[in-house]
Amino acid sequence: MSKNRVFSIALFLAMSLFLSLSLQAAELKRIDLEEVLTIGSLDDDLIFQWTGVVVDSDSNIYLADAMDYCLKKFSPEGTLTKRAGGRGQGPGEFTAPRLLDCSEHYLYATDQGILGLHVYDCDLNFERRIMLNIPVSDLKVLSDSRFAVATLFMDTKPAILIFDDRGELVQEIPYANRKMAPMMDAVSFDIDAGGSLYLAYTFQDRVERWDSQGKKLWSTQLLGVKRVKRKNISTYVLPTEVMFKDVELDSHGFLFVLGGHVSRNRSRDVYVLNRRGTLLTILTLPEASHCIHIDRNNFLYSRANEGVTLKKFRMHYVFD
Amino acid sequence: MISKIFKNKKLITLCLVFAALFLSYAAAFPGDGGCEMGLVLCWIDYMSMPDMAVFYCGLGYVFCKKYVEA
Repeated sequence: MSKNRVFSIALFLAMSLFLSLSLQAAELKRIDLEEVLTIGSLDDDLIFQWTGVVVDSDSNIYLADAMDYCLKKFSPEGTLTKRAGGRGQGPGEFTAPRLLDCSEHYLYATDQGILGLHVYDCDLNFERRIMLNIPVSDLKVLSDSRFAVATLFMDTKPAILIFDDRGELVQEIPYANRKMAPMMDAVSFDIDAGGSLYLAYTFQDRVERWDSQGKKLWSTQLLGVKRVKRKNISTYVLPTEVMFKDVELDSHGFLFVLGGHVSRNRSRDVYVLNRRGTLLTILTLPEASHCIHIDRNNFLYSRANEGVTLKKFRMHYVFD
Repeated sequence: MISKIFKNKKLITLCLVFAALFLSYAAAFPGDGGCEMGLVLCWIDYMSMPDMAVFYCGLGYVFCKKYVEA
């Protein structure tokens, strides 16, 4: 290979690296939200009480409606196009639908009362159930054949578990070297393309990044909470205040962490961090939400009217 | 005075019954909110399967804390 060619390739790689880092390097000053879509209202029965949301590559919106015991598919314009499920424990039925995520071809749903995952195609036709012997507290679908879950580890070291499409455990990513007090290991998580794990602890003032081998890369506190409030409940001492409710990565690599009870604007403040764990800005949702979702086009989705309404926002990134 | 008390006997009895109910309820869940109460009730429901109770009820508690106590 000629020297010129090597030089050209090196230059190209350097330019690519520079460009990919430039968004991160430019200081994010703030993010403005512009509401672009509302689905469901107090005056209609489109949504009874949604719990989980995900958006596919065609911008169709899927909701888990806990009070209607079903999944609902909406067009990008917000029109209800399909409904699937019903109350029960049979194939494709729900007792308490909760979390949703999707791959290119499949939609995965959890039910608080049924172990395992319900699998649907993108038209909400029920395909099958993946059996798991643990309840799922958070879910992230990595591909058509891989998904990651968080659970509550009462007697073992906590880890994010990665399963294949048959429900076989293929990898564990530990995120602590020791057991934690009950519930203190509860996390929401997201995983980036490189396999890094981003954790927001539900009952601890901690946001962390771990690599795929279980090595902690950084840990940060955002709320200044020194002592977690706990209460004796039956035979356990359990935390009672939620620090963080959800965590999501956008396509730029910014990390969005939804605060809980301790945030200045309770369940409305979203902390935006870079990949190194530096807090860049805080945006505030118009209404309290239990979760956030960010789609591939960086639209943000959150709750309104206590779960009767879903709001979609365009995010305007303002840099220095 | 005594006749007045006798006149309102029914009302006073009713008040005492409600007070007793309230106090016994408060004793069972001292100072707890809805999620804590739900957790205790869930544990009672799953008493025969203690291992599952820890997981199911724990998960329900986390969900309640996130969703209901917005």
